[in-house]
Amino acid sequence: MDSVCPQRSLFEVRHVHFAYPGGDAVLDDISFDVLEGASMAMMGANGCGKSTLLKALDGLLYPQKGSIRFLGEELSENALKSDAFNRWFRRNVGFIFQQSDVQLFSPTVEEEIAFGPLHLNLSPTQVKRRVEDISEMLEITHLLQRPPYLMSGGEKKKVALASVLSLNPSVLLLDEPSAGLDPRSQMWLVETLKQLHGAGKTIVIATHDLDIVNDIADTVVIFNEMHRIEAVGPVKETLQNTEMLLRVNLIHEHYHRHGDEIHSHIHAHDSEHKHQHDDVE
Amino acid sequence: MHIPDSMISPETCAVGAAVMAPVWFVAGKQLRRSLPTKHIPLLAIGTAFCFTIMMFNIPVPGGTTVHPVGAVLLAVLLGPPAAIIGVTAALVVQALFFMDGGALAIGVNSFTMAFSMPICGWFVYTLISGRTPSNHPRRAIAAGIASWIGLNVAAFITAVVLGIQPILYHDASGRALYFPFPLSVSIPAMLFAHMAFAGVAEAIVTASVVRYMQSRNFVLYGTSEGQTASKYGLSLLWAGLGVMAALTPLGILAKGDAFGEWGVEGLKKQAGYLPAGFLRVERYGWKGFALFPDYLSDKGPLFYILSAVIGIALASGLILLVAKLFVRNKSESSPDEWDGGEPRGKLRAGELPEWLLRSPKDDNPKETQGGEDRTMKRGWLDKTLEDLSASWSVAMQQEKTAKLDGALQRLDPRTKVVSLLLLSLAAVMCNQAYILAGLLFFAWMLALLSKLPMPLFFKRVVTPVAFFILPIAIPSTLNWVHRGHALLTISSHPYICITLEGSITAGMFLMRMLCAVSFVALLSSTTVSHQLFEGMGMLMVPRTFLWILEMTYRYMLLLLRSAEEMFLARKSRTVHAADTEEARRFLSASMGALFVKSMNLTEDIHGAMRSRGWGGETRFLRRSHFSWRDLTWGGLFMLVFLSSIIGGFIG
Repeated sequence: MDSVCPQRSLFEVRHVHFAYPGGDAVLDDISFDVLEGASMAMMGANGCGKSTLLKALDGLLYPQKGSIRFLGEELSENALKSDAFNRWFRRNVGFIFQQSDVQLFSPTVEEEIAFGPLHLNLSPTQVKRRVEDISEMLEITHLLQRPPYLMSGGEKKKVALASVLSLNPSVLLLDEPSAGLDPRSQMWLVETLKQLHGAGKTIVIATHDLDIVNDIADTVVIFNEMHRIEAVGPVKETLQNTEMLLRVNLIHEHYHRHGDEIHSHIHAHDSEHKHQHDDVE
Repeated sequence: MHIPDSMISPETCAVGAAVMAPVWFVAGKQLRRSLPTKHIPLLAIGTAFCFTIMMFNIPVPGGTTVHPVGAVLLAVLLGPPAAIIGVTAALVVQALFFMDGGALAIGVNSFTMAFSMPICGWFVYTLISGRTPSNHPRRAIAAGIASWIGLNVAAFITAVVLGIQPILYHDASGRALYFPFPLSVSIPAMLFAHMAFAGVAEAIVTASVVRYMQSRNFVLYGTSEGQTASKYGLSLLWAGLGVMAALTPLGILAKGDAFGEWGVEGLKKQAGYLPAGFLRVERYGWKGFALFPDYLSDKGPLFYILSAVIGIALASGLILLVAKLFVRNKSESSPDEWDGGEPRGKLRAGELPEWLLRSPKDDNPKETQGGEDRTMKRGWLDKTLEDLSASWSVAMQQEKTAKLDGALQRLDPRTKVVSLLLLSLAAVMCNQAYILAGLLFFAWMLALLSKLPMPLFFKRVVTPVAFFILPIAIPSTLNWVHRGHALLTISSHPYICITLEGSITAGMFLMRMLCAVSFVALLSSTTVSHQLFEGMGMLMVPRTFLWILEMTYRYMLLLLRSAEEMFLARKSRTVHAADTEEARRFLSASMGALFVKSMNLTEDIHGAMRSRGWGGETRFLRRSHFSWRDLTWGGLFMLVFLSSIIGGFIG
């Protein structure tokens, strides 16, 4: 199914263990690879540790045990202290937070988009160019002079994406990108991510939204509620294992009453909740 | 505690700024050197938190309100330098955007709330908590006591700064040029409200939030688990002592100047204390300082002692209260009438409890729709809620008027910041009625040219003036404050009348205030917030500091939103207005929740910044749009400024 044959490992995650101070482990013995050019989804129920892992992949948290390597270089607190390494890593990896408000800390959209390139030493003309290009691509030119707190959720997500894309990263890490978006914005997001993947970007998404996974991911890593990996594999095969999906709380059995008859079926997608039955009175 | 411009003299403002400049410098340096870059966004959030809790109004008998500050809380959690910088930033935002406290008085206001308060608080806190570990309950109690003391120290200094105004600044006839009341009035008034009300709230909030943070494993600043901070806590204390020492000339200045002014006529004036001289002075309408000693010995000490007694009683009661607050959650639960009694089995997960299946009207048959219907009383919560949404809408309103196509909107923010602040300064320094009238006219013409909606503009100018000044201006027209020719006799026994001299003082005072506020209002309503910050860069304000301000403003609006939602959520679940006890508890709980929310935000924002390459040093897009328009308008502003200053001197 893969048109490109991914070979090189971008991220190598080995036996990673992480616990927040004073709390239980949120990641327990996690190992997997993210291949270059892949589009990978990390799935699991709420609180299974996928957001934490994403932050660790972005070098914002450091595992207490085990290691994470990016293109062979270990992501440790010390390594990221080096200015050159930090710059190289940050240019390559972009992270989009679940809560756009967290990410939009600048006074205007323009400043926001310029923030990354400015801090990674691009020249002012290059920065200007990137701000223009990216805002045209995402159709947010009219928002450039606006402060972020006056925008809708969908617009905020666009600006957040723009602020990361302006770095031209080779990997995009997205935390629950579809959460809180209306159907049209979700659609837009899926299309944009597909387009970016098609352009050779590696995409890693943490989500529990099976719709978006089917649409854009080729590989999936499934976490269970014990904070360990339950399964890794190609999307199609892995997501057919309903028994496993039930076990990790990604889908649930849903009971319906149609007249006298009770029927149950397994639910995954949010959209299926709104499905129609012809025989409803 | 926010002193508005023109309540104090520009000289006092300058002294305040001069004192604070080295403090800001040292605190900023400390922050940069000893705190990890991680703490910059944390600071912005802490500041937003301070700003927000300053809007939690507590009513005081007599009709005014007081509020907590949160400076000691910041010092305990993040350290004194962070508190100094954070609270200063909150004050700057308040002065510029919400007209709370004067723009020129920033130095003085920072000295009280951003410097004296956290430093004194920190000192008391370290004294009480000693070497206890970070999660020791004693630290929470220490923080509570420290914040009570800190707030009252700040209130005391504010009262002193205000009270020395009539001594320092008055015209030849002894009429005060600025704040008209002497120390004997300002000190008891400020201390009573803060000891009995704001201080208690401050202490409860500080102690509860610290306790809560401890339970969340937050490592308090300066404890052994934290960075090696005791060293720089100390060096800051030294700096504080140095500044205090540097400040003493202010006291000498007060005395010296006052004596100096009496100097030439001083001996002659001695007669003023004697009944004979008193009569003579009365006859010629000559007042002056003979009045003050009287005032002082008369009402001062009594008020003073009374408020002190109340304060001490409250302080000792506070520890019991704090202790009570902590054990509450576990034991207390009062069952509702219709909920208890019936024996029942354990519910399966997902099974609805029986009462949820009933219609609400069966729940309490006694309560019917047609029953007693009282009008809901407006409680503190409603007041606070209104304040929260009002400040939100002020901010939104500003964004809107700043985008109109008017004369001032077209100018570069830097031109506006510099010239309008200068004009505001000219108004405050002006002592000639006709020049003030001219300046006022100029300001309102500018508002017209900028296409501002005039009713809204007047409302924004007049409201703060009326709120702050009328309670002060009206009494100052009476013969009790300013003796002189009677204009209108109110009562003959005791003799109360409105005097000519008093009315002139009050009138000038009002004009000056209106003028200064008009210029600041012009600035803030014609400039988009981020441009305003950019304009401030002209005033030698360091970029990083401005950037913290910008972030503060942004997240403050976010926090205001969540505070508003919290209050609405509470309102939607209650029928009656909360009683005082209940409201107090809710206020402190929601302030705590707000803080925890802020702290959680911080971590993520810091991550988001690092993720895009930020390493502690911030860069900005630079743009400059100076044009011929700025040159002409800037020239005009300078002309008006200079002519009013010169006119004031010549007159």
